[in-house]
Amino acid sequence: MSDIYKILDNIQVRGGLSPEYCEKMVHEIPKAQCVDRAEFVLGRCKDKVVLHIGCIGPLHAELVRVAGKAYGIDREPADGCENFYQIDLDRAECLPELSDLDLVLCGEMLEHLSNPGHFLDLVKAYGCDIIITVPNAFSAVGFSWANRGTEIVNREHVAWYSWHTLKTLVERHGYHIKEFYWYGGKPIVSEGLIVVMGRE
Amino acid sequence: MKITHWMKREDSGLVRSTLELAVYEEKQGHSPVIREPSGPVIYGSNGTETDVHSIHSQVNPEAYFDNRPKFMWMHGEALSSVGNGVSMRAIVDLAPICEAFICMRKEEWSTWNSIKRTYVVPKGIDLEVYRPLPDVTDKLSGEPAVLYYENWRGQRNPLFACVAMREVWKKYPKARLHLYNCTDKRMLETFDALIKHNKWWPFVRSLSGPVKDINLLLNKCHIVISCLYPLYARSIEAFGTGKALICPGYREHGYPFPSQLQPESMAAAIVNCWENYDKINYREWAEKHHDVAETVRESVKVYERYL
Repeated sequence: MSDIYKILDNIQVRGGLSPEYCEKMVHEIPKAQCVDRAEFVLGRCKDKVVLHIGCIGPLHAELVRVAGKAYGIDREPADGCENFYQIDLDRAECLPELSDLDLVLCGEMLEHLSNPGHFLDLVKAYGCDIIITVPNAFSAVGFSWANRGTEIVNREHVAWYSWHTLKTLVERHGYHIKEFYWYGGKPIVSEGLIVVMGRE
Repeated sequence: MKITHWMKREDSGLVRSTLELAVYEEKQGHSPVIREPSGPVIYGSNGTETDVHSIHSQVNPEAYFDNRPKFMWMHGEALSSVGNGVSMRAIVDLAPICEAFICMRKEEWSTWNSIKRTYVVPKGIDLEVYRPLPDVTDKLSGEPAVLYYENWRGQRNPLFACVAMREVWKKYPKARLHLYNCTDKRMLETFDALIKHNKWWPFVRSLSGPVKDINLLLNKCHIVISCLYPLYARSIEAFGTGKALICPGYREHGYPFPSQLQPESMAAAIVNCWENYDKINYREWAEKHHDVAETVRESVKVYERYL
């Protein structure tokens, strides 16, 4: 059969995009289930020694209740919070030495950082698994508002993450993703993403 | 002759037809080049100046005033070109830089010729690709097994085919309809609901997406049904594989199984075709009327008038 028909194969596979473009730009999104974020996180933290980074918020009190032991880090002061360290993660040169950690939880904080790669390099020192949750760049809610000319985003956020950009970021800094979930809504267009990752 | 085809990369009948033209131009000793309207060369060499431009949707503005003859192929149906709000306007805008239009069905000649001088060439398909296959054992169920595989979009859907098959099934209880090539989720849900609510499941036995090997799929059925009207499109591929076609828009060359765009008429045509299946040899019909090699020969003759 003529090579000319190979054009059709490329069209059918990638909707008319060139192979060169696809190689660079097109990324499959793995199938993953959608979970309740708080339920998932608290389930994973149960009876464990957990460092909760970005700990200011209602989730931390619940985490303290279920975890074996909980540490907290945040840029803002947290009155009355035990085992708490106030740290500006964009500027910190190291993190507290905590030798008993089972798990690090980075909940909805990566998108606040000016230098997330620097933070990932720092937190790698702990050696344990890390859970990251971030808002989804392609959430249906965000898209719906954007279509009406309005951006719905925390005024402190400086980035949006998708499956591919989050994966690329963490892999660039020496991690591999062990588990991946969506949270809130439906897969692909959910409210956010959860990854469980470890050091390479 | 160096023939530059301007074509957008998309999964459509237009693209399949354009590629077939290029394949047979090459077989007949010409040098086809395929380019996207945005500029990139998809196939062939762009090293020397082209002899003619063959426009299938848009053309890069760099070619507008290069003094090479330009011909626009009318793949689409004129009413739809107006209806989609875009195509007809684009055609009219490009008409002044074209030498002529080329259409493939004589019924539409007067419409296109009202805009620009239009030549009619036979609507052909690649009969080396669409051919009878021996030993296809995995046939679609039904006697007859009727296949719908048009691109589903808007009014181009198998509703009338389903209603027609209900009538056929009353007369031939072994008759089955197989719906393929549905890529629209809402369309799929609509027909899934229709099949269940209308209790069409005794005779509608497939509701599926596209297949990679269209020729193999065609070889598995007895009759291809299309609901296109007033013209027809690529479902003439059925003839290449030696299968019958029932299509309200197909009434070329005295085809013995015409129908109206109306379920009862389509049902009658299916029954008539099934009862007189051997009245014509469909493969020979394709070779006589729908060989893209002839399409290329005729179109090259048109190009040569302007060189």
